[in-house]
Amino acid sequence: MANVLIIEDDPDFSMSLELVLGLRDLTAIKAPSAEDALLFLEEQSEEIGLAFMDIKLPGMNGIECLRNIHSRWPDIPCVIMTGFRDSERLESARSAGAAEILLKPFAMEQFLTLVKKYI
Amino acid sequence: MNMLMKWIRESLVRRLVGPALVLSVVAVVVVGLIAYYSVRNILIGTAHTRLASAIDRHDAELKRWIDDQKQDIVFLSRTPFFRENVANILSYESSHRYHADGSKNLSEFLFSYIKNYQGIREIMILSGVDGKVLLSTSRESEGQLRADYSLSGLGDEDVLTRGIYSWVGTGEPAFTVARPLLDASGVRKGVLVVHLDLDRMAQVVFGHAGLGATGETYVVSLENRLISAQRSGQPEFLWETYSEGIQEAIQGGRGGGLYKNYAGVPVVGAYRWLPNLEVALLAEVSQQEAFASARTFGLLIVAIGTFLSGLLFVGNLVAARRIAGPLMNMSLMASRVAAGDLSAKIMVKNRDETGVLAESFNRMVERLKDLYGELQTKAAYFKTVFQLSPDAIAVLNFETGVISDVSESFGALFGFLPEEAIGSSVAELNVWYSRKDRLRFANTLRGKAVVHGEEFKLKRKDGSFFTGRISARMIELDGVLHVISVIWNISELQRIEAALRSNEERLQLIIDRMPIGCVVWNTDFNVELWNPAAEEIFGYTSEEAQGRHANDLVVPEDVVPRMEKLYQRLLTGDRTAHSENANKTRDGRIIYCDWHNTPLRDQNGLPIGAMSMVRDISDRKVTERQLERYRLHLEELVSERTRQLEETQAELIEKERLAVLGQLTATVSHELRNPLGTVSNAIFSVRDALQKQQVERVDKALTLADRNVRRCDSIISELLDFTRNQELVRKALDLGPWLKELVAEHRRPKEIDLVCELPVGFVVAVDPERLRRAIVNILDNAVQALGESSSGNARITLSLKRADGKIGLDVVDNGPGITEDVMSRVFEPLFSTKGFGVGLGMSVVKNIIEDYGGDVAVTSAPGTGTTVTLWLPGQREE
Repeated sequence: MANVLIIEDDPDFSMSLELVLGLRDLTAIKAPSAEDALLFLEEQSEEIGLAFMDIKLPGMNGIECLRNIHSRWPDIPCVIMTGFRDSERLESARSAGAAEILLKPFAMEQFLTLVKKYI
Repeated sequence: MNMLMKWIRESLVRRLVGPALVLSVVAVVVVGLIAYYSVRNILIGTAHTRLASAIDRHDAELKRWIDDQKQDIVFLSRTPFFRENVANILSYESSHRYHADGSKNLSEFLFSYIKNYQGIREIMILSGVDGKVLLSTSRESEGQLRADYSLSGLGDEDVLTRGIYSWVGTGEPAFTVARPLLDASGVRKGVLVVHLDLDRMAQVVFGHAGLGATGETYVVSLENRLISAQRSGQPEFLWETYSEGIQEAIQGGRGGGLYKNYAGVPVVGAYRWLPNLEVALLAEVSQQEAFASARTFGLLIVAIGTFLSGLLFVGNLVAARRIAGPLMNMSLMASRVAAGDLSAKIMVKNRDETGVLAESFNRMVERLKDLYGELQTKAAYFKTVFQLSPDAIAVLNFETGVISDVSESFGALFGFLPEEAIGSSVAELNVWYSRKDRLRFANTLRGKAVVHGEEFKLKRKDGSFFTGRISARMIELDGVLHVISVIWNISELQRIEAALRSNEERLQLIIDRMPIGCVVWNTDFNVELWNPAAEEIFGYTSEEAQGRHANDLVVPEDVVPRMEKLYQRLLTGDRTAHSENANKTRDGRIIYCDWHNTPLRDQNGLPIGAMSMVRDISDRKVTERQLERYRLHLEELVSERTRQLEETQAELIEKERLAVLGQLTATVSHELRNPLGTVSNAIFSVRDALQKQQVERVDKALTLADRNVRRCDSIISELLDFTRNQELVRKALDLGPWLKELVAEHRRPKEIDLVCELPVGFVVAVDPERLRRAIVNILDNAVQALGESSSGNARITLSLKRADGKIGLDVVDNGPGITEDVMSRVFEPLFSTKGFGVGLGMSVVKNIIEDYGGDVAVTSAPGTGTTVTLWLPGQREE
């Protein structure tokens, strides 16, 4: 319940988040693609308390992934992280059910506030 | 047989011979009958006499036989043995010994007596007291009451005979002889009764009739009972026998006659009543036997008569044939002539009337033969004409429509076989397209008896139609109205006419509507045709131009002689001629015309004129001059425009570059955010970790930060490379050793095996820093590709080669390869399949290599790996 799912294809970026969470004694589950993440959730969705996802992902994109998670595991709040600024993409992320949106690069304090809020 | 009967009925000979034959036959029959009946009457007389005498004889014999029997019985009764025993029987009671002895003795005696005297059937002794039978030769009679009133008349000494009657005991016919039996005192004690054997009597009396095979003599009792039973072939005595003779005799008559006997056989008979016996005696013989000789005689007479009649008939026949022969021969010949045999000829035998007739007949037949031959020749001639006629001919019955003959062409025209058509009616063949046409045809014929070449629509067997022109005439054949029709198929003619007309109209239309002047000249160069376009060009209307000479119309005066010469040459020689001339118009203008001239010839090839196609090209001449001016101007214009275009193109290229750069900037700024974020996060972690004194995390965070700072740098460098415009740096570089150094510094997973085939001496002139970036890019791609492949044994091979003065570097990996659709976009800027990277990689490689006059080639097959080859101009080492 207390774990954070990070769906991000940039291994360095997800590792940096894992580092920060590790210092807070939180475990980060890293998925390099939406497909990996959904596979994990199929089996152990109860371990996940919060999910972060990039929009630009190989294969299924982040918004599609968000829509999937939101419909099947509505209890898991989802946060979109993106470097894009265009309102179109942000709007579709919101309507797909994103709990919050973090614009890259974001301050760690902002990130940790969200983690504390949902876990 | 029928033939014969027919001949007999119809022949002349019959008429001559027949009556005589009939008369003679009638005479013979009459004579035969008369002879028969005369003889028959004589025979009846003699038969009567014979029968009567037979009766007399039998009557006497009968009396004598009965008297004999009576005497025998009297004698028997008087014998002492008989008298003694009878006395014992009659005197003593039946229980007395004497009675029994008497009975026994007498019985034995009487049995032996009867055996010896065949004329007696039964002997019995009756009691004189009660009439009981005391003793009998028939045991069943003993003890029975047999007294008969008929015996009552018996006197004491009498012998009584009783004629034939029904015996009281049995009812059988009996002839009884009775005698009283007296005792010593003369008292009657009993009666001796003897029944005579009637069969025996009949045998004795009638045994020898002497009346022929069927002759018969017999007696009948008063009760109509036949006594002589064997005569009728039956053992019993017949009751109820009747015949004319029997009835007459019973009523006491005597005589004879012709009648049917008791068995229904016609007989000649004689009869008599015998009062003392109370029976009728009859003698009869069958008529057939009695009259046999009369019949024989009659038949003999008829046979003789018939023979004589036959002789007479033959004689008559011979005479009749002598008269009828020539006539019959003539009639036979006449019927042969009638049947068409004109070779018949009668033999003339004599010069009498029949001979003259035969000669005339022969002459007539000769004449007929000549006429017939003539007729046949003509018929054959007309038949040939009929059959050969190219027009269809049909002969048909006007009323029934039945076709009696058709020509061959009729069949061809309608599609029927002649035998199919002949005998069928027009209605059956269904040759009329419409009922209206058929009625018109029939009505015309009915009204005028002839049809003169009128057109009708007709139908073939296959249902197709054609127009036929029909000429027909009513004609009487064998007293029946017939129609002879000649049919001419004019469909083809009509079609050709229509086609010609249509062609003509079309040609006229073409000539009228064509925008080119069309003029037809005759051999004198005078106008025959002048179309509207010619009117337009030269100003003369068709009416004005018609018949006028070319010189009057279009040829300017100064060229008249030359044109005349040209025209003659056209008529006689050249197939076509083309010329451009100056011509005059109606209003005196001079125009330029383009002429195409064609000589016209008749069927024999002789010139009949020429046809000219003419266009006014005055305008075109002006246009041509203008065009020439335009052309010169255009050349100036084009060179000017080319210059402008070149400038514009350069601008465009620059614009495109900027557009790509704009997109690139957007992508790059996004891509930069990830490493930047990572660095920022790492720095936060460092601070955090320091506070919490977790050194290993500090180290990790710093490494992360360091790497991502370099990523940023790399992205920016790529961007710079892509947008580079500055002078190229060229330094001689020996690729082999330099690459080895580069590969050693390159960071990659240790599972990947790197093979280098890098000899020295491959020198190129490049900026080493930029080439390094290109090669690192390629290596990174290869590493990336191998990372995707799950198989072990991952390998990258670097090798150098030389071709056409160029130096090639192959970087080969055995990764999964590149799919076709990805391959086509490999060099596209911003195209990436990786989550990590800007997507400038291969386009940057290409930019760098092409800057140094080189080339990049990528070959790949999915599943086997990818080869990237960099080609650079080689430089010889000095």
